[in-house]
Amino acid sequence: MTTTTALTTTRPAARVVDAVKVYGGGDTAVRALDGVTVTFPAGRFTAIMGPSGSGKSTLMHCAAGLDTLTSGTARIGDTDLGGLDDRRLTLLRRDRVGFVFQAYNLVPTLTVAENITLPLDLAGGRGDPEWIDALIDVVGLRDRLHHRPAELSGGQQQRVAVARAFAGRPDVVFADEPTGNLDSRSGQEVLGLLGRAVRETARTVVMVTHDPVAAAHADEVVFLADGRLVDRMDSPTADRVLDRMKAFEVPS
Amino acid sequence: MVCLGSALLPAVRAGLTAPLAALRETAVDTSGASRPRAVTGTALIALAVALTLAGVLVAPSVWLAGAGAVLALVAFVVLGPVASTTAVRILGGPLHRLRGVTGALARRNALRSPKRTAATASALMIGVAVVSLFTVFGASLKATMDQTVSRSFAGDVAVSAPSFGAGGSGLSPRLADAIQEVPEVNTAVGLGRGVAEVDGEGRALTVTDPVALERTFDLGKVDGSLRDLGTDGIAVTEKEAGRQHLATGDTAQLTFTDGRKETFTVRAVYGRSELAGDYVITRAAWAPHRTQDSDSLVAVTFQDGVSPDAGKAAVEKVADRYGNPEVQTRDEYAQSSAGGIDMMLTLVYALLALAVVIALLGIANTLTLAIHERTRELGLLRAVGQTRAQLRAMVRWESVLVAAFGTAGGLALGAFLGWVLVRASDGASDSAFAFALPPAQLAVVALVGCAAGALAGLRPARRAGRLDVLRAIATE
Repeated sequence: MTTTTALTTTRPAARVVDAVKVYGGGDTAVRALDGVTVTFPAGRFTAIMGPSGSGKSTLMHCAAGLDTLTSGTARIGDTDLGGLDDRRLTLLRRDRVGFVFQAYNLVPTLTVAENITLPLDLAGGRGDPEWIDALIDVVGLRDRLHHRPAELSGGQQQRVAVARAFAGRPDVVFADEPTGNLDSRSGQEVLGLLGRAVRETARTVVMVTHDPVAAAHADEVVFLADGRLVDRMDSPTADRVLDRMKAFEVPS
Repeated sequence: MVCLGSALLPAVRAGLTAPLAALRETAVDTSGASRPRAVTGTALIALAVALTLAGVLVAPSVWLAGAGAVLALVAFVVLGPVASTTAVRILGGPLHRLRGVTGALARRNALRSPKRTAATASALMIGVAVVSLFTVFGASLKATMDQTVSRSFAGDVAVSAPSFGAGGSGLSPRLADAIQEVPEVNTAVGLGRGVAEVDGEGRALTVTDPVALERTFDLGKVDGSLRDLGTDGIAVTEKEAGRQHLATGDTAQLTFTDGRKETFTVRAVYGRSELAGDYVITRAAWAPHRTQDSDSLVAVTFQDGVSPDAGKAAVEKVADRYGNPEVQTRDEYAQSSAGGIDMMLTLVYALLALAVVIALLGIANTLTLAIHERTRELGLLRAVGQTRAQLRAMVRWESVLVAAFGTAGGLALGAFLGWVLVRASDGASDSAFAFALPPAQLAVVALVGCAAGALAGLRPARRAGRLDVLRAIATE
């Protein structure tokens, strides 16, 4: 597995420019995103933070091709998502994006092993067996491969989700509150896995969270408020993130 | 009342569900595949088969066989949830290799709730069972006709009034004589039908020239002689003779429709009845009692060396003058005898098509509900890269699997019931019934069942495909 080089960090894995997302219309219209421009560099772990209603989930959904922007552009690598129809968007998510959601990440009828390779199976390929084998060891699920999700703890389920997200070596993995439903120890494990994937195998992770401790695992934190990008912070610590959050909660 | 009754069980069950169990998401509901159910179902099946076999083979009784058949149906419904797991596993086995993860998911989904799968499929199962029952019974009747004609009809062509089988509205009695005059013809024998009471029951008599009859029909082993029945002689089949303890030389009293009683002497006992009937008397013996003189069938044998086509043409020429009845070769005659069966089957199929359509609506409804329940899971699948087309295919294949299970169960049940019906008819009636499983027709039934499943899945699949990914993920 390759190590991070200075070159790869300069290439954007995902990027949104002047992103505007309006829900509804007329008087009840809500501007969830109000002109956000942000780049998620390859090989980096970026956290998106902000109070609830700040538009952080919407930003993630639009950047990941789960939702479409009202105006502005979203790109994964060099691909402009605005020009893709539903089928192409789906194929892009399958082949180039990984997902870890807050809950209900796994297909209950599939085994752990099948859940991990689901995107690859949907593509009809086998992926890279060595990479997947290594992933299984990293997330520590070798003895659970033939279990069903219902037989796993919440933390184990999230670890399966992490393994699935990285199985196809995607350009970028989006994680939406991946530790939101976990106790702190399991949460630490999952965050540790995401961090290791970025630092040891040069993957790219974008994580939405409201937890300063979780955000501290990232290389960089971007802060969102009222649909706008308001700040960014390199090499965050939990205390600094917490202070920053408090700071912009006061004026608003 | 029916509505109330059918709502009772689910209502009670809903009341019994523990609140926490209701909150938990259960992926696989195995409630249907319990051991007691398997044991009860198997016991019921065994009992049903035992009853049926007893009713068919040991002590022929239509009632016993019927009870067994009904019990078999009940056993199938009870065993459904247990069987559905195994059946869907087997039927869906090739899906994984055929359709990859889409097929595998469809198979797992069909396995999710054995009880629901079984309940959904049971309507189709019963429909298909009835269709295949009639298909098997119809084919068996045809095979019986075929066997009867080929076994006992030794003639070359048969002339019959254009109607079902040999019943007919009647041929002129002079037709047989006229055909006899044709140089190509060796023997032409007319068969008429008469009725008389023998041994306390109304019996069909065959009124004919016994000597010519023997030449055109294979009567099996003949004890005594058909040569001189005269006006007071009768020939009886072995079966009837055995039943009434008659032998050649004994007498039997016949009460005719005109009320007169006459004593006949049994002059011959013959082996095969089928086309010739169970009792044969001469025209002379029948003449005083007849109300209308007509033949229902004229059996014709050609002279040696006459080609079938030439002979048939010659007979047709004569028949033309007598109301143009149908002249048929042996095969044609056997086929037209079965023509009524086809018509009956067409009617039955038309009615059953309706039942199958209703069964399909049931499958579609259950699937639509299931899709609603799985909204989040479907959203997840779409998010990680399942295309709309794959999602639709997954739903359609699940539908096909459920339908295939119902169809397979229905075919098995229908074939069994068909066999029971044929055997029971065989035991209850005088004539021998042949059992036939028509492979082509049953294959068509199987195909139609599965294709109907795909059809039933179309709408739910379209609906699932329209699902909004984001909203599906957000659904609680």
